[in-house]
This record gives sequence, structure tokens and C-alpha cells, in this order.
Amino acid sequence: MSKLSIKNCLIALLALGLSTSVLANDEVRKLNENPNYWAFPGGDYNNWRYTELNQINTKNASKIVTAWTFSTGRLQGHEGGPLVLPSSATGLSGDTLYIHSSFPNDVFAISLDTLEIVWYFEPQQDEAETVPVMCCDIVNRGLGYSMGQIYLQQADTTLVALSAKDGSVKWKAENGRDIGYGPAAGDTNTNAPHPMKDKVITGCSGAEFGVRCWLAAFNAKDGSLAWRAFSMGPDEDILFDANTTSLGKKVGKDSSLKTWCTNADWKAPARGPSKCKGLSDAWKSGGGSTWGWWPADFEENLVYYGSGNPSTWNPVVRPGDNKWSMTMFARDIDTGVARWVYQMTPHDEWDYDGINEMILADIKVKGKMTPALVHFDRNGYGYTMNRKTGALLVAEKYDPAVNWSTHVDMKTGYPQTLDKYSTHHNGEDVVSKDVCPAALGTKDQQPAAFSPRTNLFYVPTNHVCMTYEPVSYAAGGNQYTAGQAYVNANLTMYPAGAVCPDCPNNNSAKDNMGNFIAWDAGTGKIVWNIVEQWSVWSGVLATAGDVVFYGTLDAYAKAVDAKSGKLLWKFKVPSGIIGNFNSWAHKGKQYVGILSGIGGWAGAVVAIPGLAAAPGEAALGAVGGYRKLLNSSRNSGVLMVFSLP
Amino acid sequence: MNKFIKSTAISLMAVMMSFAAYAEDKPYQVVDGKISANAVEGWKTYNGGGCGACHGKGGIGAVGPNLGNSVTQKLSKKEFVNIVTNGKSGTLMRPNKTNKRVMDNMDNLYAYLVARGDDVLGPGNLIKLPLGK
Repeated sequence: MSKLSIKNCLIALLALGLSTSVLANDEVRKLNENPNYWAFPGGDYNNWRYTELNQINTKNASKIVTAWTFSTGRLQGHEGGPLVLPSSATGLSGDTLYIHSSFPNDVFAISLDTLEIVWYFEPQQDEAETVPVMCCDIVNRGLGYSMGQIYLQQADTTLVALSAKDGSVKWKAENGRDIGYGPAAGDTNTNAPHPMKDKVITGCSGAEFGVRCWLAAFNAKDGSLAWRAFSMGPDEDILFDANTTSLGKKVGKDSSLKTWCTNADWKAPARGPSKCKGLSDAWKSGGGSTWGWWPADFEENLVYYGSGNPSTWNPVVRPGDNKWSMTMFARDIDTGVARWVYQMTPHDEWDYDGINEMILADIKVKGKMTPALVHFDRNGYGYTMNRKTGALLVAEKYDPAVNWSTHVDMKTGYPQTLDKYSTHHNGEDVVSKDVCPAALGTKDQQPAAFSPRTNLFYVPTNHVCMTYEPVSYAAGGNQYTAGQAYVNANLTMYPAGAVCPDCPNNNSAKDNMGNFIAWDAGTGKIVWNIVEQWSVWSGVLATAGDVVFYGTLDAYAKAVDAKSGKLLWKFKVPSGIIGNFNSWAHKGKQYVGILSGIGGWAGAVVAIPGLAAAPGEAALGAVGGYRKLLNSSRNSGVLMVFSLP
Repeated sequence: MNKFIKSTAISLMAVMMSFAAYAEDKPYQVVDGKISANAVEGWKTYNGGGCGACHGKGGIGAVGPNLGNSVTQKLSKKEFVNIVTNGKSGTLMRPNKTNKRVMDNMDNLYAYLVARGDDVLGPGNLIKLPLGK
């Protein structure tokens, strides 16, 4: 073959690749623009969780009824929500709804015309190997779609592409075992796959087992690995280059390796930049999981996500900032190279994972229109960034109970932590008391929503504090061993009212554990709030009818007015809600769907028989409050679908 | 006195006499005011096994239930071993069958938690506690 023909072939291949990429991208973007469907986990690539459908509105929401229901046949916690796709995408006749279950992650395709199961997929996973190392319930956060394929990220780290038409397996990819991880090393998955362009983005769980986690992109056409970017380690592993910045400054070479120290005299808490006297290799078991909800900015060709806690939970044994755990990342979708990063909680001492969803919106920030990224972190701060530059614009507490730090230094980005709440400063085998928020954060993964009609973010939150005791090796703490728990901390949790009785959003009893808030990300202020007895653990839906949907652990689906928070409707569902509300239309009628199936970290106690008889001392922990949930809910796994009559 | 803040030593002193008479029936031993080493090993296993992330300091109960009460009031040893080994369906309790340290120290862990349930041990640090046989 001549050089010319080779060149022509290369050009043709390049063009083919580009066109595939553009087509896949355009297809899902077009589906996202059509409110009759729900084609991406976050509803659209901005992660707004907003529908233009307005059939259900503030005037008629009180009349909402149950349209139909579907049991997954599984009883563990059910997170995530359904996808709804047209025949043009699936090859099936009529519209199809796709729903998943908790482990073993069954997938069902349901015809919206007949409500019959068109096909189902039951993955064969090694339960004995996988379930023991899933730290915080055996949940799965749902499915992804592109190019005629439904993607399932199985708990056992296998990524599967299924034919949307018949459920046949198109390809399988290893997302962990290929590099020596997988369940045997404590590496599992709970995240939803996020198709972007010609790739499928997926994550990693396992920071409680010392897994050095990553974000990975697989090629949608054949499941081959496109790139993998670790949360910590050498530059070639974390895909940083000379142009990677943090708060506008280039991070330079070895930006992660330089923050894992050996010196025991390294001073905690981290209130500003510091240098190690010697470097450790603790980053090799450094954690930094990635199990959230990720948007994309196609103008910038960037995907955004957050990384979780550094391993282990005993901070004393890992001096240094532990970069880039607890970090917002903006990475090139095609190459994975990091454009910008920002570490929210340097040297975590509380398990404030940074994995929560990122939401993209063009909003006024302090009076100026801004291409923003908004993020509600476990650490209790609501962050507003310039998503194109990574500039930190707003960092304000979105629960008044947050006390571990006074504020974020807007120049350095470091939270200003108080010694009394620094579990490292207080030392190993010492109980730090009344730290707010608790390890489950002011908010966990349950995603917030944004309405472009009100320019407000609707945020499900926790109102819980904790005691935290780092466990030393002398007291039995585990050294890192692949596949073994690498936690080394003892925790109790209780309502924030015990610590912050005068917090303005407490109820009169001072024992509420949750709030549902409307947040102005331009100013960093709560606009209105609804006090909830329990942590609000559901994903939110905002609608063009100015109705906002959320669910509660005591098993109520609720609709409130987007402008005022006024309750419009509530309905008792079979079990506590930790899933996400999604919306679609079929034959001219708007539907709202939600999985009902309590579980996860906050809801775990509900399923423990005999807990109601727990003695008084347990009331010091969350049990005292959460055990009342036994009066409200038991396990379930049901998709509830609502509409007007 | 609040049990949560009660020191281990005081707790041990307060109850050792009453338990001395039938200590042989217990999975731990208290002799001359000293707790047997197996309970201390159980405490270390508890701390290293990640149990306290859900069950709190000394099994006091947090997201998961109070374990001292579970093993003394609700569960037989066989049931305890089964739950620790295989997890509990429908709950957050994970199996530990692949956790070598927990499996190798199951009897020690049980001894520690029974001592906690009997109020022989407080939830605190056992490092400096005088050891018996």
C-alpha cells in the first residue's frame, strides 16, 4: 500500500471515528432534549434532573394518583431510577422503560404500551466474593444508554453492554480485574455508567478496602479501554499534564505524590499548603472512590466528577494533603487528561467523600452571568465553581449545623478546620465528639435538581453529627491487606439538634435528621427549607410545572411548590425512598417514577429485626433516632409510577 | 453514670466480683481483676475488622445494633457466628467469610462482645488493661 493510500485510510478511519463519536453524542443529546424520554441518569448532560413536562403543575399536583407499579423481586436498597427510550433508539415497538435492581443487578425492559417485560437480564456474579466487600449496602445506581445499547456496571466490576432491543450481551469489559483489582481486592461498583460521545464513563468503589480508585472510559462500540485516570499516584497514572491547574495555578509535576508524607510531625488539620519531609507510598492504597453522577460540557469537551475519601479512615497514619482524594476533577472526555482540579477536603479526617454529583448551569454568581458548576459536598459546603476555569466562586455551608471548619479560605481553597474537631489533632484512640456533619455528610450521593425557571437548586440533606475515633494499629487497626477492611475508625451518629439546638432549620423537637432545601448557588444561601424527621436520601426532580418531587426514608413520595416549598401532595409508598425521581410522557400523559426500597447507609437499621428493643445507651448513636423508622417501613424493591388521574 | 463515658477500668472493678463465681461459663475469664487475653484480642479484632464504622465504639450501636446486647440477649453463639460469617440478608451486615482476621478470631470477638454485654468491659481502650490468662 502506498503512503498516500495509507494516509487516505487513516483520514477515513479518523473521519469514521469522529462521526461515530458525534453521532452517539448527538443521539443521546437529542433524546435528552425530548422531555418524553429520560435517556441519561441525570436527565441531561447538565445533570439538572429537570423535565420540561408541565402537565403536572402546582394547581393539580394534589390529584396525583398511582398509575402502575413493578416489583424487581429484590429486597435490598434500591437507588437510581429508570431510563425511558423511544423505538428509534431501541428497535422495539413503542416506548420502553428500563429498570435495574440491587444486587445481583437484574435489568428489565418494560413496554410502556403493554407494561409487560419485553426482556430481562440476570447477571451471573460471584456473590460470595462480591457482597462481603460492598461496604455500604448492595445498591446499584442504574443504567446508561447510547448506540442502541443499555449499559450495566455490575457490582463485581464487570461493565456490560446489552442490546436495547433484546437484552443480548454485546460486550463485557473488566473494570478492575484487568489491573489486579476486582472484588478479591475489595474493589466493587455501585455507580451508573455514563455514556458520553463514543465512550462509556464508569467509576470505582473500595476506599474502605484501600483500593486506589479511578475513573475509566470504555469505547462504546467494543468495550475496549480508552483511558483510566487514578485518583492519586504518579502523573502518568492520574493523567495530569503540564497544563493541569488548581484554582488557576498549574499544579506542577508529581502533585499527588508530594502530598503523602512520612513525617509524624506533619501538623493537622490542613489549613493551608504544606510540604512533606519525606514521601510515603501510602497512595498505593489511597482510596479516592468515584461513584457519583457526572455531567459533561461538550463545548469544553470535559466530564466532571468528584473523588472520595483517602484510605484509611485513621488520618494519623497518612500525613499530608493526600491529593487528589476529595477532589473535583474536570477531564477531557476523549483523553482523560485533567484540565483542572480542586481538593475540597485536604487530609480528610471525617470520611467526607467528595463523590457527590456535579451540576452545570449558567447562572448569576454574585450578579454576574457565569458558566457554573455547582456541587453539594459531603463536607457540608455548597460550592460554585467556574466550570471552564476551575475558579472557586462560592463555598458556603448548606446546613447551619456544619461545625468542623469555620469557612473556606477563598484564596487557597483550604477549609479552616477547628482543632477540637480535628480527629488527627486529637489523636488515635481518642473520641472526637459532636463533629458536624457526620460521616454520611450533609448530603450523600442522592442527587439534587436544578430548575431554570426558578434558578434554584433543590437539595436533599442530612442533619446529623457524630463521634469519630481513629483506631491505632496498637488497638487492633488493620494494616493494608488487599481485600480486607481498611477502615480503622469507630463512629456513632445522632441528630444535629443535640449539638446545634439553635440551628434555624431545626424543628421544635430538635431531633430531626434531615432537611430539604432550595439553594441559591449564586449567593450561597438557603432560600427555603422543609424540616424532615429523617435524612432525605432520594434524588430530586424539578419540573416545568414548578413542582419538585422528593422522597423520604419513612416512605413518602412528596411534591412541593418549587417557589415556596409548600407541600402539594404526598403518598405512602411500600418502603423508604433512596432512589431518584425521573419523569417521562407516554401517549400524551406525564409520568413520574421512583424506586421504593429502603437501604443504604442511613436506612440500614430498618431491616435489622430486634433493633426496636435496643437499650437506652444505643440512643447515643443514630439507632436511637433511626429505629423509629421500623414503624414506617420495611424492605422492598418496587418502581412506583405516578400521574394525574 | 453514663455508660458511654464510663472508663473500662471502673467498669471492670465494679462487676468483677459478681462474675467471678461463674466466670468459667463465660467465653472470657476475669481472675483477680484481670480480663483474659482472648477478650482483648477480640477488641482488637473488632477495631481492625471495620465493625465500629457501623456498630460504634465497643459495639455500642450506631448504624448497626448494639452488639453486646445482641450476643447476651438475642443471639446464641451459633447464630452470632453465622451472621458474622455469612452476613444478614436484607440488612447492611456484610459476610466476613473472606475476612481472615475476623474468621481466625471469631471466638475472641465473641468473648469481647459478651464481656461488653455483661458490662464487664466498658467501650473504651483496653491497651493498658492488666491481662489475665
